Amino acid sequence: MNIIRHFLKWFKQIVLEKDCDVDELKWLARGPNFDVITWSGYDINKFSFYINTEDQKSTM
Amino acid sequence: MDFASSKDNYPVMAIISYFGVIEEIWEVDYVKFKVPVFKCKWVSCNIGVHVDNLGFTLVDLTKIGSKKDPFIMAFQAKQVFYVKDPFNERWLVVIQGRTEYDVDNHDNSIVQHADNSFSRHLLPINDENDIDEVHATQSDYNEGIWENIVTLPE
Repeated sequence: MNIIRHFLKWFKQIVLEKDCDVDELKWLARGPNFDVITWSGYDINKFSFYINTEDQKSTM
Repeated sequence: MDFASSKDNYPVMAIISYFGVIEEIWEVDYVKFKVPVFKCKWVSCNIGVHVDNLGFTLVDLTKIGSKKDPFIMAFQAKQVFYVKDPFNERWLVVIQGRTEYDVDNHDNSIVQHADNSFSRHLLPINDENDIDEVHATQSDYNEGIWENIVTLPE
């Protein structure tokens, strides 16, 4: 966990203080919104994934 | 197979599959883009997964592992199914991928392609990693030590 904290600090410093010009890195370095959107299902990689509790409701 | 501890004197790099169940799906919001992640309950690679004599991969979903590391990027996930073996309820059989069907032109029988249905212990590296909505680069893969397989039991 220490390494992760270290990395975050380092990453912010490198990206924000040294004025990195890659936009995506800047947004990443600022960190995410603390409100997170959650889903019970998600389509990605040509699969439809469902959370476990949702999956238990489905029938064969 | 697993990385037991940082004190391991003989670490070995290997691609291993993690099996588990999705508990939550999050879309982490970085304002300009969102990163979908799956929060999973992983089966312990040491005591929760084994390959039987026939080459089937079996998992015991009650043997939980990697508790401190529940998240994966959604694009890393592949879907498998867990099928209960009536002879041994504890170990579920891992079935990979969807079964594809073709209709044979000669006699209209249904031809089932079973190529991918039953899993080997090591699943192929995700070669169809063409969806890259999460702004991760391909190098994530080359450096990756594991491949995550997220699954839905049924």
